This record gives sequence, C-alpha cells and structure tokens, in this order.
Amino acid sequence: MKAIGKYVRALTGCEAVALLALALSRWFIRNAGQIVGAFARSENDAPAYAARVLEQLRRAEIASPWLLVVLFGALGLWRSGARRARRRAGYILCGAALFALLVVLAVLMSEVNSIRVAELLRSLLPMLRELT
Amino acid sequence: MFWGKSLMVILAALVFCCAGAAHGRATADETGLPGDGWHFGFGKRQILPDADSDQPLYIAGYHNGVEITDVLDYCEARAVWLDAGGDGVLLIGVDCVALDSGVVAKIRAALADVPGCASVNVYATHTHAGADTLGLWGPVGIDGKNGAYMASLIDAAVGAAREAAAGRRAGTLRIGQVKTQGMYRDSRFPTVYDENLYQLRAVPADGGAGVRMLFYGAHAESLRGDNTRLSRDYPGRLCDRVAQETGDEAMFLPGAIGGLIMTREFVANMPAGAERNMAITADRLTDYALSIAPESERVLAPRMALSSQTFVVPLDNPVFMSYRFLGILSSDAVSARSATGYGVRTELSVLMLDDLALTLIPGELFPELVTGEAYGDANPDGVNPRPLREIAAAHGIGEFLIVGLANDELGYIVPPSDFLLNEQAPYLKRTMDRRGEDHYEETNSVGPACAACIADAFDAALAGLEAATDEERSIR
Repeated sequence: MKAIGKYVRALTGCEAVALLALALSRWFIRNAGQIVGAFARSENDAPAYAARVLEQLRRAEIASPWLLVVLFGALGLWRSGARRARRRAGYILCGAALFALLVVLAVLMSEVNSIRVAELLRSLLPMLRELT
Repeated sequence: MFWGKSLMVILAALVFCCAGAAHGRATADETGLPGDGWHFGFGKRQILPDADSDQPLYIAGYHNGVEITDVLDYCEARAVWLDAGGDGVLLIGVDCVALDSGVVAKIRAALADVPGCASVNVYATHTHAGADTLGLWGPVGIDGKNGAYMASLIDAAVGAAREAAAGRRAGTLRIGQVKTQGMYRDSRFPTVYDENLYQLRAVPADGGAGVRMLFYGAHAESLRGDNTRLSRDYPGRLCDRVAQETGDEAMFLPGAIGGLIMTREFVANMPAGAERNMAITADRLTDYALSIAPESERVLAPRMALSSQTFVVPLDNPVFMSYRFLGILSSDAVSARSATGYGVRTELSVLMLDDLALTLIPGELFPELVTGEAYGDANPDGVNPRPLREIAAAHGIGEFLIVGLANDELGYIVPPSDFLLNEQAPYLKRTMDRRGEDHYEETNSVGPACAACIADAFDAALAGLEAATDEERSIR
C-alpha cells in the first residue's frame, strides 16, 4: 500500500504541476499583448504596435496540449521509482527549470484559433529574418 | 499531386432534383406551390453602419487603415429563391469585398429553419468601396472589421433571404447574353476575359415584377483606390437602373475576375471624376443588359440540381495563417501538408438550372483557368490544371457561368504556371517577372495548389451530379 501511495502522490503531483503549466501558458497567450506592451517606451513604437496586434488574442479560442499532462504524469511515475535526490536545492532548481520548460512547451504546442503557435513561428521566422 | 486533392471528399452530391420527383412534390405541397415549374422570390435589405459604434469603419480592397468618410450609397444584401417545384436554394448577394466561410456559416445557421430550403449560398459582389468584411484592411495585423457593421450585414442577408423565400411565386427562367465592348481592363498578362454580360431572368406568371441576375466578370472598383465613400460601386447603380427601366428587381453576380480584371476608366480626371466614372460604367452596362432581347433568350426547363464539394486547399500563405491565428479571418483552418502545415477547408458548388451550370467558386478565379486559352509563364515549373471549360465539356456541360467569391474567400486563384513569389518575403511583398509584370495577386492567394484543387472539386461536383441524375432516372 505504501508503494502504491508513493506512485499516486507522484502522479497527482506531476499532473498538478502540468495543469498549472497549461493554465500559465493560456494566461501568457491571452495576455501576450499586455506583456509585450510592458516593453513599450512610447505609444507609437514597435512594442506598442505589437501589443495592439497581440491584444486580439485576449478573445482567442485556445486548445491546450493535454498530451503534455499525460506525459508529465508518466514522467512522474517513472521518477517516483528512482532514488530520491540527495541535494534538496538542486532538486528544486531542476524542478523549476523543468516547470519553465513545460510552460514554454505548452505555449508552443497550444492551438490558438486552430493554429499551433510552433507552426506559426516556424512559418514566420524565416520571413522575419529576411526582413530584418 | 497535392494532399488537398487526396483529401477531397464528397459531402453532398445531389441535394434535390428534377421537378416531379417524389421528394420534390412533397415539399411543393407543404409550401402550397404547384408541383412543376420554376418558382422564384426576391428580397433585399440595406446594410447600415452603426453611427454609435466606437470601432472605425475601414474601406476594403486597397490600402490598410483607411476609414470611410462619407456615403455615396448604402451597401445591400439581395437574395433570390429558386426552385423547380421541389426543394429550393437561396442565393444571397452581399455588397462587400468578400466573406469568409465563418461569416457564411453564421448566415446559414440563421436560415436553418426556412422550410424547403436545401441550400443557402452567399456571395460577395466584391465592391472595393465597401466596408472591410474580411478584416484585412485595418492597420496591418489588426482586425479591420466593425462588429456592429458585421451584425448589420448578417441581419440584412438573413432578412433578404427570408423575404425571398416567403415571396416565391411561379414563373419561367430564361438565359440571355450580350457581348460588351471596350469595357474591360486586364492589368496582368495574358489578356484573357469573358466579355459577355449574362442575364438570368425570372419572369413571373402573374405578370408582376421579375428578377434579373446579371453576371459580369470585372472587379467592382470603378471608383478606384482613392475613393473613401461607402458604395456598392457600379453593380449597385447597374441594378438600380435596370430596375428603373424594366420594373424588375436585379442582382449582380461577379464572374471570373482574377488576374486582374476590372472595368476601364472612362474619365480622364481621376480621382476627382470617380463618381462620374462609376456612373458611366454602370450606365453602359445597363444599356447592354437592356439590349438583350426577350426573343434571344433561351427558356430553361424546370429542372434543378445541386452538387457541393467540401475540400481542403493547402495554405502556403503565412500572412493568411497569421490573420487566422489572430482571429481576424474565420475561415476553417485544418492540418494539411503545406508550407505552413495547414490547409483551408472550403467548398465549391454547382447549381444546375436545366442544362446551365452555375459554378460557385470560393475566390477570385483567373479567367484563363476557365478557358485555358493562354497562360502566363513566370513559373515554368508550375503545371496548370485542366481548364474548367474542358472539364465541363467532359461531363457533357456546354454552358456554365461562374459565380465568384461564393461561400468563402480564398483570394486570387492563380495559374501555377504564372505563380511567382517575392524571394525575400514571399506573400508579404509583391514581385515583378522578367516581363515587368506585377505579381501582386500571389500575395492575396492561399498558394499555388489552389487552382488544381478548384479544378478537381469542379470535376468531382459534376461527377456527383451525373451519379445523382442516374439515381433520379431510376426513381422515375
């Protein structure tokens, strides 16, 4: 029972972390305009304009990558079988980095108005590189 | 060759068939109409801007971020109901630059309860003096649609359609045509266009006002790009004048207008003479329309069938993709093999009126893709699909008319052999070919695969009609 409890705890914890990452990714997408707008120095500079464009995402239909939650849960189950990390600080640091990575992945894999963010960046970046 | 082709699916073949079929009789009885013969109805509504709206009203078709400053004439939605004794179709023409499938879906949903209506089809007259109804003409990257105007547009389309459906009456249907001369300007090599003005005329049995559907293959931009006044452009005045002269109602349907076909400038002092230019254009076309003698018209037998194809066109244009991402375009984006990884799910329909095929194309088709008579050759690697005329002939269809910008807007449908992109910024900046020809249209297209998808969908739609006709014969 104790062993099962360990797995249940690991699974629940990982799922909760993954769900939090998904929620954060949705918040980032919806508030992308506000975030970019924070870098604006005047009402007419490029960040201010980009903020106006991205502000339209506030009403976007977002489909989150639920597969990430499943995969992260599986990772938690696998890790729960491994030895506990000896250094707590290192463990927290790795955990934070992993969480940040999870949020970035969740943003990239989200479908905004039926278009995946990663696909949009893949299509636009070469063009933007040529133009700048 | 393209994934879009392999995805082509027949969603609906024959929706309804010849008058006298068992299903047709049942519907005719329900609506209290005679079992055989043509029935038609007409309705129209103005699309009024909301003076209290705090959103700007941008003019569509030319430059970004230009607001409408005045009103020359209000845009309208005009609708016609057609049936041959069975279920009917609604054809709704909206004075606007274009409508994507998301807006069409809203109009269809609002008309889902119209009894006996097998199909609702919505097209744009493509006026370049109308409000932005796609969202592409606001400041770059920002939705140019005015929410209140879009609501008014949908209300007008629905109201006109309901009026048309409710006011249906018996009559005959006739097709006539006249060749226009000195009207066109083709701004891109090669010079290919259909100079005919076609008139599909519904004549009521009760001697009242009829309906004239006028098909012409030229952009509605006789007011040109400096105009900032809201207007239906020449199609509006053409319909009004035909109505004045004949007592019939009229509606305008754009043909194959890509590549880029517009009417000539008839005044020397543009932009000051824009309104005069529009009046001359419309009045000349009115004279042509009125010159179609009744005895030259061909009477169409009351037989009607519809075949619709839903298919996916590869979306190679990352700018269109970005506008979909931002929620500006509401077209149906799906995963597909293309430069962006996405495609646009769209539809093409063929409405058979006796032996005349009305082909509803979701975009601005280059006329050479219809006739096959001459193509540009800026892209030697591009392989053009079979021209639509050849495909139609292979299915035994001699006469067909194009209704452009119908049920969706894919932008320009460019022959692959002439599809040339700017190397540095494809789809973002235009480019010139070795002849010095401007390849602007490519920036407003989904990609080079579109032409082949349209040809395949047309082929499949006609094949669907043939299969259904066989089925119909077996019922009889």
